[in-house]
Order: sequence, then structure tokens, then C-alpha cells
Amino acid sequence: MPSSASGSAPATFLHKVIAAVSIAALVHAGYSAAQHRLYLRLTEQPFTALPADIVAQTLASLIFLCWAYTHVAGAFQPIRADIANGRRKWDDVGSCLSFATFEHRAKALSPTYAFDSGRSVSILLLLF
Amino acid sequence: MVADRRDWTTVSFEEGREALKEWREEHARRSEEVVELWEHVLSRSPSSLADELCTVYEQVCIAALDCSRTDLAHECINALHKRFPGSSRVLRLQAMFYEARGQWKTADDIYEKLITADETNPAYRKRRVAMLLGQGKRLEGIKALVEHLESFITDSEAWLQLSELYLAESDYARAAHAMEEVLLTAPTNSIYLRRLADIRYTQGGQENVEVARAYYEQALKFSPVDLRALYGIVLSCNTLVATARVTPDKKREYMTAAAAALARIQERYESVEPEAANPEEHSNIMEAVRGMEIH
Amino acid sequence: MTDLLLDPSIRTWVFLPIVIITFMIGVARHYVSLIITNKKRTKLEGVIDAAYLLRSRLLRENGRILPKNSYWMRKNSLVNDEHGYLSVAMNRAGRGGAPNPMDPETLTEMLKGNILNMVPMIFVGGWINWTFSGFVTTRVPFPLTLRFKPMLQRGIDLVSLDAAWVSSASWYFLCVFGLRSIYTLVLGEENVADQSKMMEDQMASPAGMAPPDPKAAFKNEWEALSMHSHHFAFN
Repeated sequence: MPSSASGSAPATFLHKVIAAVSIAALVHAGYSAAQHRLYLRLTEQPFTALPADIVAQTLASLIFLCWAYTHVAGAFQPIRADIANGRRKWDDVGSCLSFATFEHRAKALSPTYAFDSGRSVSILLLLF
Repeated sequence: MVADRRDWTTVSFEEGREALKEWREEHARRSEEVVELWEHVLSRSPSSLADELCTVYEQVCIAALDCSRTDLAHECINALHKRFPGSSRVLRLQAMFYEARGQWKTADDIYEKLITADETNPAYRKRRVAMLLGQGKRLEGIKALVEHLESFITDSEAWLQLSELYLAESDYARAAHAMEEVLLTAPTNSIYLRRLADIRYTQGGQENVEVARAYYEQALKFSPVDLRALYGIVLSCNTLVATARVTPDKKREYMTAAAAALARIQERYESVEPEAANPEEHSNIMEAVRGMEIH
Repeated sequence: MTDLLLDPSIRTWVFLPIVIITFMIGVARHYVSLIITNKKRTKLEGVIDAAYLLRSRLLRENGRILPKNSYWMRKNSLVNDEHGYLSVAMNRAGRGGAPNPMDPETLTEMLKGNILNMVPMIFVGGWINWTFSGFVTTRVPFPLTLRFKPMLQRGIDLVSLDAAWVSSASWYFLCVFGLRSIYTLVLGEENVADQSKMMEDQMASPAGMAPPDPKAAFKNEWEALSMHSHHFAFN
């Protein structure tokens, strides 16, 4: 089963949408801030502070982005390598899959076992 | 293992894909389940796998060969061949297909061709060794593997396999040597440490059992939940206490270590299944564990 | 320090497009090189040598987990004067030789590499210089002497203009070198768009690469392993 050590739920479509919308909102806030400054420079007004709605938009999109991204990024990997090893079994660790051979009893589970070359003869001999 | 058997035919696509990925990464050999997952869940829309499609095909092909499903394996190989016509990885799968059907000569010829085309790829030589093992020629397999290791001396999977082969031949000294090579590349892996300790303990003799005890302690340090390491400590300490050439101080030290390990084992059994659940069995087990203590 | 006010459309239509153009060309170069160049064929002997060097290093680093006999057996197999692999490899006559510059294969490789890297830079640099000429693009944040003016302010003949104000061609070259780490981020390691690595290689190769290199590596490893003392850590 999929492991989720930190307990965060896997990313759903909603999380991804919120992340994308937050990024767009952040970029938009930055652009509006730049435009605001340009406007102030053109109308020769002193620049004191950004308008409240831009600040609010920046903060809100940042918070939403952080929240959505922690879900999109997925569960954390444990840092101590041996923690992962504590759960592994020798069957997996010692499996040496590059050397896996197919000559084992599972061959008999195949639906075509009796009809493979050579075996049909031995089956007949057994019957008679 | 059979412990976490579930019905893979009814899982969702994402869950199936995650499971396959996990088994790929931990090198699990769960061939029946892979084939089941593929046939009932993933083959409905293979294109949704996108980037992973070819690795999944490879995984399913090998699993199919393991379950003797040559039809499914053939299908996977064809699909891969269409995508990558001249690929040597597909050729290797083809050779494994022949292996599974017992056509050793054909498979060997293909591997020969692959090796001459790319000398530095260890995978093909390893399959040749696997072929010898599949035909039951274990001693020749060992010889071929040793030869392979002369060129690829840092191949830890090959050393691990060599260690297993020597164990099957009861050649514990060489098995320990091979296991040490594996350990050189992964010194903090508690499973390898425990395995080496097992081999050393089996070899017997005071020196070996002392080394085994040291390795068991270290494995326990890295992985505090390792029950086998705890048992290993108990057994090796008991053996050492019974040895003649051990000073009384050391004896006392071993006895305390064994007692501490036994206490932890009992704690673990208590936490897994408390007394109320199955009193008779519980008391039998606890009695047996207590009986291992040396006074 | 004169404080010029630049037209904002320079930022939108010159500054950013140059960054984007440079980045795209780097990415395109990487993919074109993937198509054109052949994969380097490694030799088996090279792989074996590298494996033994790695083994020696692992023995030094992780040797403390092995008991004395095992450690000394392995050390002996590597540094023994007559049979040790490292000793033999150290004294072996230089195998492989320098990549022969007369060899047609290496020549074509070098040529392809050069063409792929230098030519686009020259062409695009020239085009940018021609298109975006006659104005300053940006100001570098550190002060520069007047010597840099003809180089950085091509096409702008103002004697009193601070040298920190640069033209678009210099901004292009700044981007070429500055976007290196972005390439590593986007394309992963081993990307051809990373030009400075290429230049480092060119500077190292005249100094004589291959023949002393394996021998020197073996000698270093032999010395390091000989000096290494063993202590069984689990006692």
C-alpha cells in the first residue's frame, strides 16, 4: 500500500487547481504593484505604501500556495535510511532480481502446463 | 508475503500504479499480484501511464514469465518492440522469454550477441549466470559468477547472490566473505548486518560468535525493532557463556546483555498480543522465552 | 552617478526577451547535441579500473565494520607489492594514451562540440547587437572603469555616460553565463548548454590528460590505502 509517513493526503485535483490559481494570483499581485508604482510616478505622487488590496492578495495567495503545495509535493521521505530498512523483509532485500530464474513450481500454475512440450507425453504415461 | 494479501482486481487505477511503482523500487518479487493488477486494472487504459508505460511493460513481462503466462509476456514484448525496434533491453526480455520456455541455447546466443555489442553492461552476464542456475548447475553458476565479479567487483547484487549460493553449498566461510563485500557498499544496512551475523554464528567457533554478537548489536542499534537481532544476541551470548575460554567478567557481561535482550523480546510480545487475547498460547510463548535465560 | 530613467518598454521588449531568447537557445542547443553526438563508448578496462578504485575507497571508508582478518585480506589483495591490483596498475605502462588529436573520430567530436557551442553564440550575439542597438539596456550594480566603455557600450557614443550602463549585447553575454544554474535545474546534470564546463575541459586538455591520469589516480589510492589504519568499530 502507498506509504504516507507524514500523514498528508495525496494530491487531488482541487489541490493542484488551488496551487495554480495561487501562483497566478501572486504574479498578478506583483504586476499590479509595479503598475501602481508607475501610476504614482506618472501622476507625481509620493510613494508611501502599497494599497491594502494588493497586500491582502499577496498574503492570501502565499498562504494558499503553501498549503496546496504541501499536498502536491506528497509525503516526506524519512531521513534515517535505516528506518525504511526496519520495515523491509529479507524476501525483498535478498531477492537479487537480476538473477531471478523461472524454473520453479509456479510453472505448474500455468493454464497451459499439461500441453507444453514433453509434458503431455509424461501425463499420458502417468495415466496409463 | 501472504500476510498482506488483498484483492488487487478492485483497486483504483492510481492505487494500482502506485503499488507497481513501490514494488519496482523495493525489488519485490510479487509476480502473481503484478499480473493480476495489470490484467484487471491497468491494461484498461495503458496510455494513462504515459512516461511509466515502458517500465511497467517490462515489469509486467518479467512477472508474466514468472507466472508462466507466456501469452501475456509475448504481448508485452511485442508492444515494447513496436515502440523501440532496435533496443537491447527488449532483446534481453526476448532472451528471458526463451529462458522461461527452456530454450537455453537460443537464449544463450542472444546474450552472447548482447555482450559483444556492449561489454560494459553487467546485466547480460548476470542473466547468463541465472541461466546456469535455472538449469540446476549451481557449481558452474558459482564459477561463472566469480568470473563476472572479477570484472565488476563492486556489483553488490552479484555479491549478495554469491553469498546465497555459497550458503546453499554450506560453504559458510566464503558466504561470509561475499556478504562482507555487500556490507562494504552499504555499511548502515541493518538487514545485511544481521545476515552476516547469522552466517558468522552458524560458522561457529568462539571468534566467529563474538563477531556475530558485535554485528547483532550493531544491527539492533540501526534498527531497534529488529526481533531477529535480539534473538541473535541472546543465542550468541548464551553460546559464549557456555564456552570455556571466557573470563568471568566477560561472562557476566554476556549474561546481562542476554537478559536485557530477553526482556525486550518479552516486551515486544506483550505489546503485539497482550495476555488477555490468548492466555494459554501467550503463557507458553513467554515460558519458552524465559527458558532461554541462563543463570 | 547619473540616475537615468529608462523607458519601461525597454524592460518589457528588450530586457526580458533577451533572457527568454538566451534560455530557449540554450535548451535548443542541448537537444540538438543529444541528436547529433554519439554516446561515448566506454571500454571494459576503464570500467574495471574505476571499479577497483571505488573498492579501495570503500575499503578505506567502511573498513571499520570488518574484522581484522577480512580487512587485511582485502587490503593485501589491493596494495600487495607483487600481486596487489593497485600496485600492478600503478606500474603498468600507460594504457590508452592521450586522445589522439589525429584520430578522425575524436576530431569530428571536437568539431561538432565547437560548432554547437560557439556558432550560435556568435550569430545570436551579432543579431541582438544589430536589432537592439542605439540605447542602453540596463545598469550593472557595481562601478566599472572607463576602459570597459567601448566593450560594453557598443553603438552608444556618449563620452560622459557612466560605464555601468551597458548595451543589449553585453546583457546577452551576461545571460549566457548567468543562466548556467537554471540549465542545471531544468535539464538536469550533464547538459550541453552548460558552456563553462566545456571551456574548463578545453583548458585542461592541453595540459595533457589521459596517460598520467589513471596512473596518478592509482598511485594516490595506493598511498591512501597503505597509510590507512584499521580499527574494528564494533568491539
